[in-house]
Amino acid sequence: MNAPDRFELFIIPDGVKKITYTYDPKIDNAATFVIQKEDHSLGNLIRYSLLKEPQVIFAGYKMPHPLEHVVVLKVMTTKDTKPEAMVAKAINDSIAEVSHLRAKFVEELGRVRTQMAAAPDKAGEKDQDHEILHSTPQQAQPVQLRHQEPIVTPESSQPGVYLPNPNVDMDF
Amino acid sequence: MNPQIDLTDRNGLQGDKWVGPKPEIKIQDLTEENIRFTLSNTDLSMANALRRIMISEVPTIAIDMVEIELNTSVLADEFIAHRLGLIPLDSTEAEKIKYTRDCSCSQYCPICSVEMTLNVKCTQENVTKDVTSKDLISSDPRVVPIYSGKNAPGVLIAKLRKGQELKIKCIAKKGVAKEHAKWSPCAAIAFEYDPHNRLRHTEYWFEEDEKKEWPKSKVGAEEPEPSEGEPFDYNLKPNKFYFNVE
Repeated sequence: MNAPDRFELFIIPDGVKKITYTYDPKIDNAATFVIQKEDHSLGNLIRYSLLKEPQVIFAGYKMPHPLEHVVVLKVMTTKDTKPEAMVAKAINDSIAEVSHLRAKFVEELGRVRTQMAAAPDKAGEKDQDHEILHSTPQQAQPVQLRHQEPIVTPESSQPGVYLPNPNVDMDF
Repeated sequence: MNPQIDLTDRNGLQGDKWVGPKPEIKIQDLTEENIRFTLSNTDLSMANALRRIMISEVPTIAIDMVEIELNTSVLADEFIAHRLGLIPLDSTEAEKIKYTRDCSCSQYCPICSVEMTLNVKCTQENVTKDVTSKDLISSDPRVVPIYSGKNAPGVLIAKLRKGQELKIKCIAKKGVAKEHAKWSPCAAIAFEYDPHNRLRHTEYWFEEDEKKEWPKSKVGAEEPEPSEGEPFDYNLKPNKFYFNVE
């Protein structure tokens, strides 16, 4: 009866920003980011991406409460950069990595399907009950991969160049 | 500074060029229902994000609203509605269907939903009629219940005796498994890394001998086995991740 609505997990209420940040009042070059309606999938990924940067002194994330779908990210950087710039870079690097992974997967899928089409007997032995994904190499090329994050071209993910993702309301 | 630490590797930058670790992916096995692949050259957080997203954030289509016109079967309306929701539908075209919340219509429309009807009556004496997902008639040929193999019987919804009837209108909508598990695109995901427990992310409980009592991992051959008495390197990071998505 008192259960919160399930859509609260991923729908941002009107007038709420996806991501906000405040500077730490006591430590220089440190900030706390609050990302709405996200979980460990994104939080851990950004944290890892941030820790790869040598200018980042500290990066950590938490989900303060299991019923609040909020990720709190704390970042401290060296004084030659700003936390928000590093977070933006980390996000762009992650997007670049994911789009690379996606391209790799499509490539590999095309390779495997070509192989299967070349040797259908062998594949059929393994799994007779199920239809094997037969397709010619030509068909295998435009593999549809759905539900991916909007892909940012590699140019925009170059270091130092930050192109805001139109889907994320970031106010830097 | 420790000369052993390679900054280019940690940072992924060389001058202005991104030369960071490029993830690799290798498919071992692919069928209609199963894919087994190895992801390497990336971090645990990326592999785990991929796993979590496959489980809960890939949109699919499932029956979400049910209008029961007639139900004279032995099952309660809610019971049947719940079963209908769990029937797997072909979601290849899920991208072309809008979320209802993003649609301009007030409740549902052909842009954000697919209508399905179930109209079955048992007329024969002394026969139990099985109502399965094959009796569901979809208004859209792209979104239909799926079966494993051509001769599969379909998903059983209810059983009817003479005179019992089901007349139901179902509205299938797009959603993600975060909201309800019926929208999950996969049955199970096996995720494994570090088969020899080199990183000591886990500790094996044993009576007398760990090696005798614990079976070896199937993917163990993919990575070299550590030699006896090898010193523990706490800086090691997992690098190869084994997936099996059903």
